[in-house]
Amino acid sequence: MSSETTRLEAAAVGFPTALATAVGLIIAGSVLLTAQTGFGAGGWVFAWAILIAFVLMLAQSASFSEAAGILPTAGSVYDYIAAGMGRFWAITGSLAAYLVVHVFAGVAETATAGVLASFNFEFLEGLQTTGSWWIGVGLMVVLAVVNMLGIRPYASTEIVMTFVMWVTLVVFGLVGVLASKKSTISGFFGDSFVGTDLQAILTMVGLALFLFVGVEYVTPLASEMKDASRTIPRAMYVGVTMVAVAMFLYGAGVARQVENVDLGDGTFILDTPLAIPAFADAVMGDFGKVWLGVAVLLASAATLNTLLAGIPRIFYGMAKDGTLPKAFGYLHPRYKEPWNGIILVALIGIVGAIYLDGDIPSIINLILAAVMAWIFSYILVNISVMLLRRRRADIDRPYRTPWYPLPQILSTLGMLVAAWYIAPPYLTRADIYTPFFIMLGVCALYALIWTYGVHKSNPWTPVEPEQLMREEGVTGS
Amino acid sequence: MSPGRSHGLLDLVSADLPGHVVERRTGGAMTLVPGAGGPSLHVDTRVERRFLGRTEIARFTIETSAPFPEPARLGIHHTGARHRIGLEARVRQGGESTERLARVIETDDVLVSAALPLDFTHFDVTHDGASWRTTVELMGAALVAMAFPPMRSYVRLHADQREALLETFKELERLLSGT
Repeated sequence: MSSETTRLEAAAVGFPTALATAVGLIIAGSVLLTAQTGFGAGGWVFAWAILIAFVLMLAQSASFSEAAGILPTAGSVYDYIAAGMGRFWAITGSLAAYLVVHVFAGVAETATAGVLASFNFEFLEGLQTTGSWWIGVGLMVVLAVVNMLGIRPYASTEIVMTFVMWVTLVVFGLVGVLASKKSTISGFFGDSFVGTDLQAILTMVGLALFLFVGVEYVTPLASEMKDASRTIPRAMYVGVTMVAVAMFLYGAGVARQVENVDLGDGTFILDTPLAIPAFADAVMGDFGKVWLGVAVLLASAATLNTLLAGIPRIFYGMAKDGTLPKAFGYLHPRYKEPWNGIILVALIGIVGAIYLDGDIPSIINLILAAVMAWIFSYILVNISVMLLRRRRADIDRPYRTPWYPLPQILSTLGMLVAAWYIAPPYLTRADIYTPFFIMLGVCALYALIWTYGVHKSNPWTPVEPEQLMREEGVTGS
Repeated sequence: MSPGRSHGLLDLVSADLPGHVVERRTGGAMTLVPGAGGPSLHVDTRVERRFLGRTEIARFTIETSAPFPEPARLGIHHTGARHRIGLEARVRQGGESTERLARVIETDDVLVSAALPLDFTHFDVTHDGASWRTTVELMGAALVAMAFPPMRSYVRLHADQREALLETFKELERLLSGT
């Protein structure tokens, strides 16, 4: 196979998934809310924050690509960190990255579905101040039942959904940017209400990082790849770039088409989700409002459906491994679905959404605490990649980070700065650090108990990749 | 397998089948033969896609050469309202002979005992006029990838499921060979 053919094939496999992911993410409720909050408060400052986050994510993608090439289960944070730093850090980091994020993601998406629906549909506007949780909870209950009954969407539904989302993004994004400007902004993204100095930009980087939350997903499954060492990094770089472009399009479109008017109580429209239907109205009138509102609601429903399909299966595996109670290994005899896992995922979203009751600052707090969890695990992966380079230079690395160790150092330092400035000007660090460190403490305690008490191993000694593979049953062949 | 190579679902599944040797590997499928003798196991994968998520699922298939008077297709299911108590074989295609076979499958205590612990999500038995083809999908032996939350996780083919799968295939092959 010629190198040219390999490049083309690699591009063909990665590009459609990257495009679908970028499109899907921008319409996923919590990401859209974050983008709206960021641009509404920060304007062009948030655009700079996205650029910084983009550079950090490019560097981070290099680390993940190298790690994914070394260890058996591509994308397993636990494997990377255990091999680099030992089991304590691996369990703490992967629990923070998986379990904590599962909770945050499910709660944030359930709550956001209700919030956005209350702003997008006039007949629901009575729920804007309180009660919007009904919508998200109702969605979650319906979807949980659908999944418990084993009802799966037809394969064509995925293609239709992605096409509809893509058309939505293109129409609203490009028309918003290319059509005549309806607002009086100067520049592309509007003014900043959080300051314009470097510190102001840095305080928005945490929010901006969240926009790239799903970019690792663009990596195709290994069976779809002909040349993983090329496809993995290429797909991730394309995905990061496409998400950044999509976010810039959205931010510029909203700023150009929606005049940032005072809503009468000192709140400006771009600070609230009302900017979204206002943007749709400016692009395509009442029909546009219905279209975008329906698309956003469908995206939220589809995201929750994916959570309900994927996470309980992972819980099943963890129950079989003995890391979760056996109850999560139960399958209903007739419907063949892990009912206990589905119920738990649904309950987490439902309880969280009711507790938050549509309070957007609290949802943003939750999102930023999730970003802290990601930052923590990302830094551990970077450190592990560097330690593995020193300790195990002998391992074959299909993909080697270009300009090593610059991407790891840049990403780690950048993530630490982002963590320090995680709180936007209207929040305090304590609002975000407190829940995050409590959760991290719980994860760390569990890691100590499990390694010393259950696994009876040294939590601080790095685990050789070959031993990790033996323990996971991945024997040599 | 060794570090330094990105592994797909087929690699991970073959590693969860110790005692089986990969006889043939082509693209997205492989054939394994048990070292101790027995039927070949054919494994391929299919991807179940959702919005911002996908699951790659391994499909395990054995072929049994045995004549049968008519084309047949059966779907095997567990019975029970809360806990599994037996097997049900639903005839999707076929006539009287297939119905008789279905009853045999449901009442064979050894097969039922082997299949009760198996966490299958699909279990099809098909005769195309030449041979039987039994295909099983499990909860394990699957790779889950999601964008939000961002994660990728292999759900293993655990030892008890591997043993139940192989035992079920062995007992079913016994029944089908005798048709």
